[in-house]
Amino acid sequence: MKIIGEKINGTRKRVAQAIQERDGAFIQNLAREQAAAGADWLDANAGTAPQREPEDLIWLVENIQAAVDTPVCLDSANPKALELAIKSVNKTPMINSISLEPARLEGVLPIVAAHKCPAVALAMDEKGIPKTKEERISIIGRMLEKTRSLGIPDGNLYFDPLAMTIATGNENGLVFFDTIREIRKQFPDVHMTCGLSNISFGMPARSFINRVFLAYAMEAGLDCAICDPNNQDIKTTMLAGELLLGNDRERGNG
Amino acid sequence: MAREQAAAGADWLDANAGTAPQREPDDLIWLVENIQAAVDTPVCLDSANPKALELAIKSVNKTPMINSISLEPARLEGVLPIVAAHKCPAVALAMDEKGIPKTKEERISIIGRMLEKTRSLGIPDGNLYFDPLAMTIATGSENGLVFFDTIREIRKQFPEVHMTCGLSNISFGMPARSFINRVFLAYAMEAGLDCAICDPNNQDIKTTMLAAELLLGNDKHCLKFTRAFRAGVFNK
Repeated sequence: MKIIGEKINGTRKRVAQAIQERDGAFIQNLAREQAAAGADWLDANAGTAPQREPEDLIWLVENIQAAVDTPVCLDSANPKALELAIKSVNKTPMINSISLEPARLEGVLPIVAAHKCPAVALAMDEKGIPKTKEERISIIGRMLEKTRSLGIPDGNLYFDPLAMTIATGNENGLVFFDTIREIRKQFPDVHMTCGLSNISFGMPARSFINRVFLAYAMEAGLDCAICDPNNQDIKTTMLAGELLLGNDRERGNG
Repeated sequence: MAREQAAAGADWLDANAGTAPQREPDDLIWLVENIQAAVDTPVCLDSANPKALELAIKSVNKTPMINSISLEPARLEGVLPIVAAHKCPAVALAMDEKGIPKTKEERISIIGRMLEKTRSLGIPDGNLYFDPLAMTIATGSENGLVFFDTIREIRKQFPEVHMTCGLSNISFGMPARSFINRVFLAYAMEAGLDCAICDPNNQDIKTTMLAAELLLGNDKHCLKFTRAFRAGVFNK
């Protein structure tokens, strides 16, 4: 299981404040905590102010790299911010995210191709998030036509099938798990990732739902998660999930 | 103990009088009487001793579950006829005189042979709660997968039977057992487990069951989950 550490995100109040005040120590601390907990990439999201985003994203990258060796995951839909930030990375970054939305196809996909970056790929198009497994699979098929035509290997793509909350549909968990199984079957080389909390939006006791969701998604074939690697519920569920799925030969590792 | 477990939603209350063969009938009857004095929940008579079962069954108010039958000759001859005569639901262990099998195929074959016997006695498949018998993950990386695959195969081949198990054998010899047990429960439910032998007041177990049923689409409009939340089930 790979982990994209989600904590350095400018849409969170405390991180937005650190960015604004140029509180590098705060960002470096988040980077160290997540790297120590085993994150494979550290998400860097500078927030949504388009004017400041390039500068802010570069500042985040510089602070993360001052603290740890873990590669960053540049989390932006802004091609200009991505192009500039990519010049300051020490290691090939992951890009979060591409999709079939025209702006991302034209603005972000060429960057992913040119720099041979791994990328999070959302199973959505200009019409938004699809409802069914079939629509998601069709979108992913169309994305793979484009990425393959640009020479991007399937193994560089981390598809997020986009879970909808169980609060608005009893079947939303099953649709998600089935979609993962179908992607694994049809496109065996791609990776799959997702956030762990969308599934419980609008529900009480969310952490209890999220951890069972993680276990089921792993069983279906998820091999990467965007999460807080220091969350004990998540860590212990990942360890127990891998153990029970036969993927932890050195038991006692954890 | 009876009241606590009944209040937490137990469907049966296991009654096991321990292993002293001389005292077992008396002790089991005493347990049954005390359980029935406290709650209406049916008992699950947990004994391999036909004499204790025959005597205890006379003091039950409601048809009890019997725990357990298997393909071991003593259980076939001593316990199975009681299950048939009293139309009891029964826990059925997927083992024979050679012990617990290692593979899915051997377990399925044992269950097939048991069903031949139970069907010939007129026991409906729906009265049987098969326990595929999990082996600890500590002695084999594949033991979790073997267990989940066995459950899926039973569900496919014998759609009417129920499946049950204990939740802690899987982690025998491991540290942090409760963390393993709760993910084991979630996976077993996804595979088709529809009954568990457990402490219904254990918060890890309760909350995992609620979240799993929710995510597997078995909790219409999230009613059970939200009701449990209001009742404080998720409070630390």
